[in-house]
Amino acid sequence: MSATATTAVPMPRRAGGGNPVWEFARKHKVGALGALIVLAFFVSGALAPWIAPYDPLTIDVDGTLKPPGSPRHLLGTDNQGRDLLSRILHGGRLSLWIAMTSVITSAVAGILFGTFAAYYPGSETLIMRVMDMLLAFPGIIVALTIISLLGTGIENLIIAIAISQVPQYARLAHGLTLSIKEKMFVEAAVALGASDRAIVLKHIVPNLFSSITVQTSLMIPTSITTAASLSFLGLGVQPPNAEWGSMLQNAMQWSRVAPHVMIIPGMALMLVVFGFNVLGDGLRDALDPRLRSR
Amino acid sequence: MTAYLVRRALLSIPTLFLVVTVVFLAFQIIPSDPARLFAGETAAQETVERIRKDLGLDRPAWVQYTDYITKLVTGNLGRSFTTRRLVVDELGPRFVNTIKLSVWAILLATTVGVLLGTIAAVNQGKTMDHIATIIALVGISIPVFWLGLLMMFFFSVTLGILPAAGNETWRHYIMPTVALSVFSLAFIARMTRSSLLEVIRQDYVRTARAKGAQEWVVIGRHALANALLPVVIVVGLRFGFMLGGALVVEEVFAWPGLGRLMIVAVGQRDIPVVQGVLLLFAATFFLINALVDLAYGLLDPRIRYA
Repeated sequence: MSATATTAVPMPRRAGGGNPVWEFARKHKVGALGALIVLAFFVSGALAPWIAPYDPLTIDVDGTLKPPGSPRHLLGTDNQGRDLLSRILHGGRLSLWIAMTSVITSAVAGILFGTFAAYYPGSETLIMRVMDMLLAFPGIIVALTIISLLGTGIENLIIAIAISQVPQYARLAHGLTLSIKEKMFVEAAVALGASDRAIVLKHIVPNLFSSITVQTSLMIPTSITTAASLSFLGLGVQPPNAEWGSMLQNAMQWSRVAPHVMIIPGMALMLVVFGFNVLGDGLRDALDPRLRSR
Repeated sequence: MTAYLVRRALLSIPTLFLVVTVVFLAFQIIPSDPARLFAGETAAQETVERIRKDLGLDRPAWVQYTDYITKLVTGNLGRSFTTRRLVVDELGPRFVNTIKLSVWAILLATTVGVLLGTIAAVNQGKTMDHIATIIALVGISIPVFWLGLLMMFFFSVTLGILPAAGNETWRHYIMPTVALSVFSLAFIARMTRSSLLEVIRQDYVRTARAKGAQEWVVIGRHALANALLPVVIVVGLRFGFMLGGALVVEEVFAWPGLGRLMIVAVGQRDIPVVQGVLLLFAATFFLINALVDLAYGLLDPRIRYA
C-alpha cells in the first residue's frame, strides 16, 4: 500500500520501460484494462457511422426481435426490427458526445468559478454558497430540475448535466487555488509584478491539471450514467434516437419475449462505466498519490 | 448537543432560502406558461386566463414570491397546479415511502459493505480480497435501473417469486432495496477496505496482537472501531445521494415515492410540487449532515461540539 515499498523494488529495465504509458500499464494492470475499454469506446464512437452495419433508425417489420447471432444481425434486432449492433454503436457515439461536452463545459466553468472565488474574496461567499447549495442535491436531481426548466432534448441534457457537475470542479479548484496561492513561486510572480490573470493562467491552472484530470476520469462515468438514467426516465434523449438509456426504457415491455433487447444495452453501459472507473482508479494512484487511500 | 443541533438548523435556513429563491427565479425566466399547460393546447383564451387567476399567476412576480415565502414560514407550501391538493399533503406520504426504502437500503449497504470491506482487508492480496474487490467494482459500475430491470426479469418474470411493482408487503421491498443499495454497498466496501488497511498497520493494533488478543478482537475492537470513522462520513453522504438513486429505482418498480412525484411534476411544470420536493430534499440533506457530524463526535471522543 505504501508508496515507498512499491517504488523501492528495482524494476528490470525492459524495452520501452521509459515510456509513461507502458509504465502505467505495467504498474496498474486493471487500470490498463480500463484504458483499453475506454479506447475501444472512443474509437467505436468516433467511427460508428462507418462501422455500423445498418442505419440505427431503419425499421424492418419482417425482422423484429431476432435473437443475437441471427444471420446478418450479430446482436439481433429490437421490436421494430432495427439492428441492435448498429443502435449500440450509435448510442455509444451519442453517450460519448454528451459526456465529453458536458464534462469539458463543467470543468472550464468550475475552474473559472473556483479560481475567481479564491482570488476575489468579495465574490467568494456568493459563488461558493451557490455551489454548496447545488451540492446539497444529488446531481441527477439538479439535472432534472434544469430539464424541467429547459425541456427535453440532447442540448438541454448536456446543459443540465454540465450544471450539475460544476460545483465539484469549483470546489476542487477553489481549495487548490487557495493553497497554491500561498506557494513561493506565486509570491515570486507577484513580486515580479505579474497580474492576477497572468498568475492564474500561467501558474495556478497548470498546477490544477493533475487533480482536474483525476476528477474528470471520475466525472465522465457519472455523466454517462446520469444521461442514460434521464433518457431512461423519458426526460433526456428522445426516441427514436439510439441511446442506451432510452433503448432500455423501450426494452422494458419486450424483455419477456426477447431478453436480449434489455440485456445488451445495459451490458454496454456497464462495461463503459467499469472501464472509466478502473482507469480512474489507476490514474488517481499514478497522478495524485495524496488521494491514494480514498 | 441540543444547542449544537439548533445552531445547525438555523445555519441551514439561509441555504434553504437560497434554494427557494433560485428555483422561483428560474421558473420566472423560462418562457413557459403553466396555465396554458394546465388548460391544454386547445383551450380557449378565457379558460387559460381564468386558470391563471385561479393559480394566482396573474399577480406580479414579487407578489407571488413574498406570498410564497410568507406561507412557507407557516409550513404552507401552496397547492399543486394539477391536483389542486395541498403540496404538503402530496409530499407527506410519498416522503415516508422514499425514506422507508432509503433507510432499508442504507442499512443493507452499510452492513454488507463493511463486512465485504473487512473480509477483503483481512485477506489482503488473497483470493477473497480479489473476489470482494471485483464485486465492489461491478457494484459501482452497474447502472441502478438496469440492475432493477435484470432483477425484475429474473425474479418476477421468469421465476415469478417476487412482485414487480408496488409497496404493499415486505416482499415488495426486496428488489427495490437491493437495487438502491448496490452502489453504496460497493462504495462503502471500498472505503472500509482502504481505511482498515491503513489502521491495521498502526502500532496499537500490533500491541493488541502482541498481548495475545484473539484475531477477531483485534480486528473488531481495535482496528475496525477506528477504521469506521471515515466510513461513517461516507454512509451519511451516500444516504443523501440515495434520494437521487431512489428517483430511478422508484420509476422501475412503480414505487409511490418522492422521485416519481417529482418526475411527473417536472413533466407537467407543476412548480409548487417541484419546489416542495427540492426543499424537502435539501432539508433532509442538512439533517443528515448534522447527524453525521454528531455520530462522528460519538465515535471519536476527541471531537467536541461547542
